[in-house]
Amino acid sequence: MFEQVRLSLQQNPHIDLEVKADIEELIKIFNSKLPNISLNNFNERIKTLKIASGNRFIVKDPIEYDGVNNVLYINVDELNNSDAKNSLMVGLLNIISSKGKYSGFNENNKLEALNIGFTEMLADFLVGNGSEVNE
Amino acid sequence: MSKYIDERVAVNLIGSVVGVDDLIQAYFNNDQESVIKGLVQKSNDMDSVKKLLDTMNYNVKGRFVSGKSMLGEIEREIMDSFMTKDNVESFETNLVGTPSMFADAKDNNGKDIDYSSVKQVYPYFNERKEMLISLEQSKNR
Repeated sequence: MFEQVRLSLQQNPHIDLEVKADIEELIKIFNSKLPNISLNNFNERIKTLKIASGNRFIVKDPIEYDGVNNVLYINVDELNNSDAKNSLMVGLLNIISSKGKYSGFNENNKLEALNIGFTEMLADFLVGNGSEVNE
Repeated sequence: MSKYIDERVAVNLIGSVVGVDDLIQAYFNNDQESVIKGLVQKSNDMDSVKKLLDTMNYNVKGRFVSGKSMLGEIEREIMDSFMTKDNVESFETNLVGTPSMFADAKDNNGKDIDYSSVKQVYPYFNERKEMLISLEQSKNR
């Protein structure tokens, strides 16, 4: 499956090569640490994913995923103050577990907070979090 | 420090009760119902679980607007719903009750978020722990 995802990513016309390399690296880590989790959904979404800068009044986190329009929004100011690898992994987890408007086990925002905390902790488990080191 | 430190603390506590593997499965299967079912089963009280989730969902955005975190209330609600004599040690490890740990947390206006609510976490934990021990002792008599 990883090879299929890699090909889908390469075919995406909207993402530049440097970001593709970052995404590929992170998906490789995800697949090696959570090999039983399906990447089918991600494989479909990555083919047409777009990346855009987000207005800081709308995009409050370093990276936010709009699952309806399949766009990953980046807030550059927030990203500069975070561990970029960890933030990108949070974004990718939202894509992997996306079900349109909602991701993970959140639906209709009933489990919004729990889902946010769990996504962050999964990202830490997968790639660590450099921004926590200097506390 | 993560912007979502409150949610991490809550997930740490809840994860130790309902099981991280179950949460992972639910996460990637978009299975909200199994998470809620797991929480209700562990607490035996649907209203308390609903109240906890409502408080968490308010706090996830509210603290950045009001400048005041409700993490202390959230930790107390989690203790009320899920702490038993069997997991008390795990709670002792994962509870956070020191406001200075959140010194970097800022609200939407760039001001420090008030974390005074967590000051009551350790006294409340000690009270609950004593109560659980007393209950256990009276059962064994």
